[in-house]
Amino acid sequence: MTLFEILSAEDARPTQVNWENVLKTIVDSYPLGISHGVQKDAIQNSWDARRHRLGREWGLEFELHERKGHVFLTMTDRGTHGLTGRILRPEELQEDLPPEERWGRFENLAFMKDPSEDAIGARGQGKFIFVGASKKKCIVYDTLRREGLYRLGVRLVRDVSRNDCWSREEEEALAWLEKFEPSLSPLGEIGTRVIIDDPVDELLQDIRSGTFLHMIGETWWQIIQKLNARITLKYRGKVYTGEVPSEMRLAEHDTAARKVWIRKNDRIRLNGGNFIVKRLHVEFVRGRVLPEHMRGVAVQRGHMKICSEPFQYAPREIAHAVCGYIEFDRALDQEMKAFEDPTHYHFQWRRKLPQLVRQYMQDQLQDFGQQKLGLGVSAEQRRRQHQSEAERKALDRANQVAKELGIAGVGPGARRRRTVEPGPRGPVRPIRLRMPDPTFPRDSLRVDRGESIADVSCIAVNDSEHHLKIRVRVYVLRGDDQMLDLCTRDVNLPRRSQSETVGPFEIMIDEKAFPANGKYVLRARMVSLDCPGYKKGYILDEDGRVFYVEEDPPEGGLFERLVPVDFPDDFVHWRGDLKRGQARGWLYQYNLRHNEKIAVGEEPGPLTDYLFKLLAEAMVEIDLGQGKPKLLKEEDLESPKRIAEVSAQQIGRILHEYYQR
Amino acid sequence: MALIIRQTTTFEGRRRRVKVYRSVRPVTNEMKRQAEALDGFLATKMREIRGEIQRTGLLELKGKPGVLPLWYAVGERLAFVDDPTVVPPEDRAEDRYIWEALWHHAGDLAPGKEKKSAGTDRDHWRMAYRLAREGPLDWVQAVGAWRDWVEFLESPFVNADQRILNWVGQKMRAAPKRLLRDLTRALRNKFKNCETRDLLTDEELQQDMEECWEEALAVDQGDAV
Repeated sequence: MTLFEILSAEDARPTQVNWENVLKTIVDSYPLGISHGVQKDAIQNSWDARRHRLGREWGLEFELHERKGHVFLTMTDRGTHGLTGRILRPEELQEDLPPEERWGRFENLAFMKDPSEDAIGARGQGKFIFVGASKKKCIVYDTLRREGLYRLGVRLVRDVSRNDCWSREEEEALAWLEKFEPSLSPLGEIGTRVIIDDPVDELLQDIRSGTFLHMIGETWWQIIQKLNARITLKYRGKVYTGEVPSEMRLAEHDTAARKVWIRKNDRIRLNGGNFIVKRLHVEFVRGRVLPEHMRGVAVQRGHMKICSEPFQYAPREIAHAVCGYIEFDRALDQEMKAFEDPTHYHFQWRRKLPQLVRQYMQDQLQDFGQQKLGLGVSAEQRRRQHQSEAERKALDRANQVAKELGIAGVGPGARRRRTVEPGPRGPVRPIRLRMPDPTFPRDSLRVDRGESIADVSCIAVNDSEHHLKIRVRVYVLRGDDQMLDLCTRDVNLPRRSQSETVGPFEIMIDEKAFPANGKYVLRARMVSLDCPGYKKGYILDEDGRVFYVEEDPPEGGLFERLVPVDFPDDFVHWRGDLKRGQARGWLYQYNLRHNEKIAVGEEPGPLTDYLFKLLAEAMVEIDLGQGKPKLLKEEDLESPKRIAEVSAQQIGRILHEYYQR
Repeated sequence: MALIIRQTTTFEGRRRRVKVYRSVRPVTNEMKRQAEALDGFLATKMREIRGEIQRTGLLELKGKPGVLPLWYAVGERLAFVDDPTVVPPEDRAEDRYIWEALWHHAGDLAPGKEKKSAGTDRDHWRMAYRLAREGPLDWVQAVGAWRDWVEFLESPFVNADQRILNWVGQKMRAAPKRLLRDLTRALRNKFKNCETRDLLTDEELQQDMEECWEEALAVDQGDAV
């Protein structure tokens, strides 16, 4: 017999749970506070138990009872099945419970609802927020079922280790209800009532101030608007009804002050399949400043607002004036359920499908911004900018690290802009052109559209004994094509003289003259018009400067470039691939289709970290391929196991350094 | 505009072709979709051209002396790139990717493996296209062989000054002689390290060209002797 077979149930000691801490943890996990959590979970539990799919006859009433010496909140629904099922014995609680065992699921924790159920909730954690919302850590719940059974239960967390529940049926249940609160009537309709005894101050305050009702409208506007769901709050004799917030009454058409973006049935592709976004509806109202919780796109699942996706990369006056929602088709809604956290306030955005959904929302917001709100950058351009920025940063850091580790020195060599006037190179020509370094927008040869290169100038020098007539031209080339002619000037140069400065000029980098990204050459050329010994048209001298539009200059160091590539299907699991570069360095092709890359997303920060990690691994690979590796000692190369161990350690070391800075 | 270019890359020692979207602008999803459509169009077009050329029997000339009629015929059919619906006027600057993309769809028509010059000014398909625009086949054949034309058309001075091309065309139409090779060499010596456009007047240029013509004639006659 194995050890596990001789262990008996009789002398087993159950693990003690500190229930107060568990409750605190659950309550703390609700990001918008306890009141928001109470309304959200109460309505969600009840909506999941509705009798008719479209919510016919369904309703929920919150009522705050303030009796002398006894304050409690009742949450009573109708049009539901009630808490059906038996009171289960412990030995029956071994597996996930069938859908009809609602009582059993309500009383216990972490029993999943059947994924095939059309339910919003999933893990049954919600009722503990009710216990957490009670100062006495106590809730009472009763149900009236279709067969006429009346049952009442009580849950009480009494001290650190006790979290108990009790229940009674029929007459006994009525007697317990009477004991709890004599003025409370038993349920008259099929349904369920949950009572939070002695609610915490935060909840009381939110109910009294009307905030609680707003929370209901914000979270459940869709079932109120589309399905006429009636959710009410009764307080001090008055009944208030949950309403659709004015912000969510979205316009269908543009007006002078209002711009609308509506998309229907867009597809999100993943692994060869299609998921459908049923509707995305976004509205911008000029001059409006929305309350924080209403900003951005409300992500709806199961008609419930889960969270908001803010309009990133937009100026504040636009981001704060845009709201709307996204709604999925049934299949995508079901898929997204798996990525929702137990509190129903977040998705696991770093997983592949949610990441694609988030990317879709941001792309649409960017396109809305560009096409209707006058923002300059499209989603694709923004994506490329982020990608390019992350690639540049990761390359810079990787080359720096490689240099420090001593595995640099095989790359193309830095091609930084000269910062001092170059000295004479070789024999000085008697007839020559001098071109001082122009002024770039930053300490790099990169220049973006909308920026300019200033102080472009040149001087022709004649140290010969002849009078010369020359032509000076300053122009910009891309490949062999002349893109811009800055100046053409005919100059008389007496013997042993130099010309006046030709220029200075400023080159504005715009779409018209520089339609393509990449390398350009600024060139000054001196041509003979009438020079003894030279044919007319002879190029006497020329000088030039390379610059790069919307692109970083080739890197000096171990890695030349990072290249984004869609890897083919049978290599889709590869994160990247190392290649020899054009200038004796290396280029790293990274796979845009790898799930990790997709999960990382396009934010420059996380993407830089991810790309650096790939380069760190590549660094070790390159080092291993060298005759005398710098990162591994001779004895480390003796066995594949040792090589793997030391390589992993070295990657760890590089990443450790990276995150330390 | 973006085009699909196939690149060979090695995965675990196995060489694979991967699709790369090429454009001088950042490639958007919309451009990718257009590139897919254009790629399909190019595949169809090249298949048609290949079929036509096969039917004429010209494909037999591939790799043999006297191949010019084959590439001339191909060049004539490549005129579809002038269609603004294929390459929009604003994208003419990036038409080099069209030539590069054609290699993938050329099949038997390709003169061999894709060359390093693919997509450049010296791209084979671009040369064929340009050749077919120079004049009728008889005349083109009369003044030079395929290799002579390639050498001429890829010369920097020819591409820098349209007047040189025009003059050569006129001169040779008036007196068709198989002089293109010698003339190209004479011109290269004459205009080495020189600019002509905007610097030489028409008369000055004509004088230089006449000198080159005489030089080419002399070489030709010397060869004949």
